[in-house]
Amino acid sequence: MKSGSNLEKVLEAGHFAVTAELGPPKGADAEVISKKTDILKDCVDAVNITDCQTAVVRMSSIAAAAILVSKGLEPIIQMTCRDRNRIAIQSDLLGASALGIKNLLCLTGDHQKFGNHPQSKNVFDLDSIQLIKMIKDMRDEKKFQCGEEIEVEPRFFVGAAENPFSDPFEYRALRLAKKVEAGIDFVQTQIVYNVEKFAKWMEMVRELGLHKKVYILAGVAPLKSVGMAKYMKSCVPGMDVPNEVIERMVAVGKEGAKEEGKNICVDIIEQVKKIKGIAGVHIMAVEWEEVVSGIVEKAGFLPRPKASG
Amino acid sequence: MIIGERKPIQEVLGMIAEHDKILIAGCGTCVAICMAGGDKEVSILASAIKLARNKEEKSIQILEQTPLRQCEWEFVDELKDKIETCDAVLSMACGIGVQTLVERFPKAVVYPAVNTTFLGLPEEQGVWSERCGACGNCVLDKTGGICPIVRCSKSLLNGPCGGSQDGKCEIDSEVDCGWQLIYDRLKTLGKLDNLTDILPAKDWSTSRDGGPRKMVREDMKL
Amino acid sequence: MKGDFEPKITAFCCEHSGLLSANMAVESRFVFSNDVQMIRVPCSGKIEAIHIMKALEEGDGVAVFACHKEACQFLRGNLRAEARVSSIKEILKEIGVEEERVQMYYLAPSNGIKFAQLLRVFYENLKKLGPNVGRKVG
Repeated sequence: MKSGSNLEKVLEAGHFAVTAELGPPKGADAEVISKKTDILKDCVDAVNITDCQTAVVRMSSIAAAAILVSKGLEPIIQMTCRDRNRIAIQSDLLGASALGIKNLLCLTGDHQKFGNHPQSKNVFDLDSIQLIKMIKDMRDEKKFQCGEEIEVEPRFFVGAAENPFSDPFEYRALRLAKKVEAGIDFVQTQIVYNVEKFAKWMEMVRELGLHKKVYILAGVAPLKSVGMAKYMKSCVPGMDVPNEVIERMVAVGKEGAKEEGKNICVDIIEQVKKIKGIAGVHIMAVEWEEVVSGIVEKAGFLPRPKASG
Repeated sequence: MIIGERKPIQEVLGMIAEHDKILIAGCGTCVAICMAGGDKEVSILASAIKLARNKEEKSIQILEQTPLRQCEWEFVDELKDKIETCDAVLSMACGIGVQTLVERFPKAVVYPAVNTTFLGLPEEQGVWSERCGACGNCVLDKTGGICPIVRCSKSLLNGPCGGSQDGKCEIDSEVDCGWQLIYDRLKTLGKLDNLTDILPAKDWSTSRDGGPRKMVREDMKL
Repeated sequence: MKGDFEPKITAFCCEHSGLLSANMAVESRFVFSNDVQMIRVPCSGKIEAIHIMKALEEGDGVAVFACHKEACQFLRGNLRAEARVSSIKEILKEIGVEEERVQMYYLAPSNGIKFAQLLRVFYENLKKLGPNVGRKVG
């Protein structure tokens, strides 16, 4: 075991893993985290805690994750390269490990232009691949990035994100290969609406044998409305929402939109589950966490396996 | 070359509000080529300042001079006589020029009238774009001659992030994705293999992060 | 006092249009203010921003008479002039001087009446604006 996390155990045991996402509040209210924890507990194996997603200041991923740990729900902290240099990242990760956090997702980070402090200075001392390598070396070589030894090393189950829908498409699987080589254990993909294109990407991933080296969790997200579908299609870079999906949302009208959004999500889960090399799904329903249990139930993923050992 | 852009005139007027006689010093090199601080821009700014100050019934005397370069002692020495007769100098050079004047004429009050924006080239007449971040440790050999430090919004060294779409960067649909450019270029060169190697964490100590930089070449010293 | 005010105007005239029309206007005795300084240019594109600025330092308004958009003898000279005029307007806006003090007009080569009319309108506008406060004192 690399970290001994629940997620690692579930995947190692060959179960189809289910993870979700939790956005910390834009404030210091611990209650928000506790409530969301209660909503997500027992229906997923672990929960991503975003790190100032879209560059908007929110409660820190590690602090929020510590609350989850205390409540018995396993967090996957996220770490971006945008806000911290290698000194701050390593320091924060030592602390996270000491707080009992065992999963970590390494991200480049959205540019601060999208956030609420567009005038800030960004860091990008490392990129996500260099970040992965650094964390793997901390865990497996017991070494800081500078080469100095670590007495008690942080032990994380290390993940990365990959977006099969951004460009250049032909390079996307190769980029995942770089992340695998750098040392990831699992990957969560960008939200899949275009299953056909996703399958094509997975084909390239399998050709490189990456599905045998890391666990691949397909990202999914329930749509709330036609507006959200259209926004994602046209305004979110690297998001591919096919017209058929939008048509399905339009067809059911305003009242049926949320229900249909859930149905589409479950349909996509069923399709990606059949793709060879998919080890789980990552359900992203930020600020709509209550929908997750319904989706998980409908997809037949309950009860979640109790990891032993 | 160094690219610059004239500051808003109101900001400049604020700097010189207390002065009645100034020298506007241009620079005949980079900022002249990018039409921010050459002799033409000096004369237009002088004229605009005169109009603005007359309007406030607080007329001002303005001398103008544009040495070939404002970043070398022997060229800025030409400004000596004029500087000595003025209350202040408004430099239309890049930040280097401003500081060259300050160091050469310690008694002079020198203000910047230009914002130094980046190191780049004129893509076409009237359009300039950034090409170099002066990081002190060039990687262009690995990236097909396209700089990931300044042409990728996140200075990534190991390929495009998830925000690359249709060849454009996530920050702005007008901005090319630097890594798409690198990918296309390496593809043309038949060197896509370059992209499978992991570039290790960069040593930024040669960049601004290492503190103020200085280079000494004993062989060139007199 | 505005009623007595005679604006001092500089008119840059392209010799392929503005100047020919101006000559016709004079010959046909279309009366306009005496205080117009006519400057002949081989093409409106020859006018630099600084020429307009210098004229403003000494006067109340600057008019540029150029050929119609597609009719420039040098293809793009009048478009360049237009870009320069708008850059001057930006500067005037920045320093709080009325941007209407600089105007660009397009003319056919032999339109004395139009020339006189345009100049008249410009003159009347300047009269309404009053003296250029940015003009050299004394």
